[in-house]
Amino acid sequence: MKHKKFIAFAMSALMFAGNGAVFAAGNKSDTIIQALCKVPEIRVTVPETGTLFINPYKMSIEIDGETTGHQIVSTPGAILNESPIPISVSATVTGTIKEGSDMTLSGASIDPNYTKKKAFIYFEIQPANDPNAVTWDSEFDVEKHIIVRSSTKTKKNIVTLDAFDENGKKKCYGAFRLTGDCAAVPKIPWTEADGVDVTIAFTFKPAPIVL
Amino acid sequence: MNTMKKRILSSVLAVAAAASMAVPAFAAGNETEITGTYEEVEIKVLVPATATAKINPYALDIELEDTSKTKISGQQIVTDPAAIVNQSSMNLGVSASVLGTIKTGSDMKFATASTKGSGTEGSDDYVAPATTKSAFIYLQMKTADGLANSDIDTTKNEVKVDSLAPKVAAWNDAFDAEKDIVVGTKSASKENMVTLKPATGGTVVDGGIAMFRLSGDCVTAPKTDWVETDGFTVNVAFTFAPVAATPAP
Repeated sequence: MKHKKFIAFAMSALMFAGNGAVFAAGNKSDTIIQALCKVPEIRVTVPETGTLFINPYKMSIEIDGETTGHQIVSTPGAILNESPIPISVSATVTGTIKEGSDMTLSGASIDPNYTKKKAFIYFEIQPANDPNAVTWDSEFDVEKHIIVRSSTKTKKNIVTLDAFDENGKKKCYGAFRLTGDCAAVPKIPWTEADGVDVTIAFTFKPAPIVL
Repeated sequence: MNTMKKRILSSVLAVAAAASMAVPAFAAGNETEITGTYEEVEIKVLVPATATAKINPYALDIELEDTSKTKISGQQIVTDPAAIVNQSSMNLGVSASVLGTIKTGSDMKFATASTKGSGTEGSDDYVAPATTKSAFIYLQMKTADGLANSDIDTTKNEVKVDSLAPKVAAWNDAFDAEKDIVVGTKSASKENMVTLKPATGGTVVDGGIAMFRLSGDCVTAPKTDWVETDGFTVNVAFTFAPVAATPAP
């Protein structure tokens, strides 16, 4: 009897080792993974209005505590990128001469002795971490600025603003101004009826980043 | 003289005794019947039916849904924690095949290599970064070391998200063509991506749970912007097969 059991055990052990592991039929199971795009929300604060001064005689004008004698001066303006991502800003500028004014808009800087009532006005925007401490360009740059004309003018990707930073270290502000020059003493003098309304339309899109 | 006689007698007696012991005892019959049967062992693996992932072009922080709101940072393709659990009593080799489908209405594409490009500009092997709306997606798997039976939610039949989340957040393996499966619109597969240790007496052990995820990269700001309707689906088909245990030395 003892003899029988010993042999039986040995035979089953041999079968196990001879075939490798005991395999069940291969089992399968699927997982469906759904992936959607997480689109970051773009939030930008844009001022609704501003004021433009035509100052042909280069008189001292005080604006927000700052004194200037420029011929074309605007109140400070800034857009603020409150998005969690950097954005590329495009701007479209359109000038409309006020009704009753006989001034015109120029496509180039104006000689001070020019005799026609003309103004050269252009839009400039700079990235800044403080809209009250901006380094403006010293002169007109056709690559960076937009001339104000009666027809619409656009510059794409005129500036890139950093993602919102509450610590004030990132340049998430886009400080902008209108500046330029005009005829100082045209034959037909400047009057209070003269003026121009400038519409600035901003568009924003996510800016590329390097990860 | 007396000593020698005694010695001879002892030897004779010993021989006689040995001879008597050597006589075989015969059984009643002369056949032995052995019955061998194959005992099937059940393969039992917990596999989630679904999982979710996000295309995160700006690699913004993404909070997982665990109690601690673990953050995943710096990743453009993020998968919510997912794992499979071996409840079988044998080692299991896990193979997988993947098949991707772009969501209807989306104009994104699957990339076959990293969208970040490669090489140095100017060199012969330089590949410029992609600019069209595309994503390089691949499936990765690894054992969730340290997780065992107590990390399983038995009511939901899944690994607890609180157990998985820290391990998912710490998972920073880069793409490995030898180990990972690139997702495309044609099926691709790899065998034995991981081996899961067997449960003991029905209790899942450390080494018996494997995490899986989709990872990769995508173009940050493509020519056409990413929109919420962009997306894709990946069908991951797992196959489990017993793996022979290493015999003890």
